[in-house]
Amino acid sequence: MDAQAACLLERYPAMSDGLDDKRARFEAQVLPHLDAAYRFARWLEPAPGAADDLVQEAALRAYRGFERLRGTNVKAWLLAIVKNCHFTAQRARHARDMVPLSEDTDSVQDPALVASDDPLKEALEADQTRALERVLLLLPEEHREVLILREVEDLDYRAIAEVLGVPLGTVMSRLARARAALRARYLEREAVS
Amino acid sequence: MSCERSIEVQAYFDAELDALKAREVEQHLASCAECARLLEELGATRRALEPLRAPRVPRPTLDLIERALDREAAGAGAGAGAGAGAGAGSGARAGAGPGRGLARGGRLMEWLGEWLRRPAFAAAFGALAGIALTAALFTGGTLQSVGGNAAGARMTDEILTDHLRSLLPDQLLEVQSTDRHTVKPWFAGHADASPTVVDFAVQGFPLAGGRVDVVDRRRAAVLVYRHGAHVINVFSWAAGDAQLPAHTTRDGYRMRCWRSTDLEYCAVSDAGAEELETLERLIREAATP
Repeated sequence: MDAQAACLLERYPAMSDGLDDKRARFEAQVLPHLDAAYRFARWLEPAPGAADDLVQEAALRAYRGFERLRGTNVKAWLLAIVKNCHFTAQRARHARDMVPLSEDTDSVQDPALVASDDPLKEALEADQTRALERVLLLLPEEHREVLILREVEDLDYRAIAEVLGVPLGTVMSRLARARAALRARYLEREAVS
Repeated sequence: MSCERSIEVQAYFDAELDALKAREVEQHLASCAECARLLEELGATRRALEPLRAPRVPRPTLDLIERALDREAAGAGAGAGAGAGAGAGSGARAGAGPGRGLARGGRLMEWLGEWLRRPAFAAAFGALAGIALTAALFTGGTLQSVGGNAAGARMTDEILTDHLRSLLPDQLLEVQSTDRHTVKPWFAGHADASPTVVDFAVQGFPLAGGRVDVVDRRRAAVLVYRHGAHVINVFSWAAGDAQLPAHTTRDGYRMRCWRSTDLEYCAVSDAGAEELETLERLIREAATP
């Protein structure tokens, strides 16, 4: 057995914080949630390629802060980092006065004003997912993010509160409003067709 | 317009209520048409959002992240070296070498990628792996039991890492087949062991195919079974003197190892303990003529 293998044998049971060990644990615990991070990022930064940048930034920050992760929900922890990175980037853009339209969090936009196609025709399109994504993009960001975290990433209320940094009650009321908004804009339109 | 209990109905739908409260809401639902309708609509919203579970990190982005982590690790090593002399820095570099790579998840991925990757047999199973990943319950690295020996602990680590890696897009299968006459000879040419290959579809464990992973520096034959939405990887190699890893649960994944006359097996999955036990029994029975 060579020296390196001997070193590994000593190291693994002890779960020490050696460099290689940290990397291995990071890959085992955090990398499985990268897809979730990417899916979440797509709805925070819808511009082409922006989600990829956001996920990379978040992964690097997660790695740097990995020692501080102790027994909590790893997925929620990673998604919170994605959210924070997004928040930082968004603030930088605000400072430069370059806010994309879809980043507007408070104004409720009428889909008829933004969507160029006939909504009825669009609902009939084979690509339902495309239509759904479009409707989601028209929702305020605080609705979009809570919907994705709950319905796509299966986080419970407590984990969502952790990711968004808001109280549980806020999670519940936002979720109710977000679902109602989605129903009004997508499902009922579908029912018409 | 809205019933004052709609938030409770939502919490019921999201499985956030304890049994007592859930019972209360169920009684309310029986008498409130508005809330019953809300419950249906909540289900419709969830179904509509189903397709959004599909997207995955694009491979090039994944590669960029791997490289960024490499740079970060190298940078941290150099930083430590500045204090402790040149030794620490070169140690960090050695960690990136191919020898060390066999025992490590990330390097293993690259190593296998270079030598063993076959054309994209596995594309169809990307979605399946996605389901398994979302279904996986991560509790944050709590280790409930550890193999009693160092080699066992290291193998546990390798096998769990291999399992996680197999759930990444296009990593699950190298030979995709439910036909044992295809999988068995493929192992003969690619792995250091050639286990009995049987499809247990009738018993609820359809065979999806096979793969080769490096475990403890041997090319282990990996049989991939499905059970509902779960992926079960069954690693096997020629029986040796080393003690097998103990049954382990980590991060929501279970590992169960056993020994037959000439082979050792380790099954890993996020499926339940009973399911792994059943699969072990099936494989044992199939191996004894």
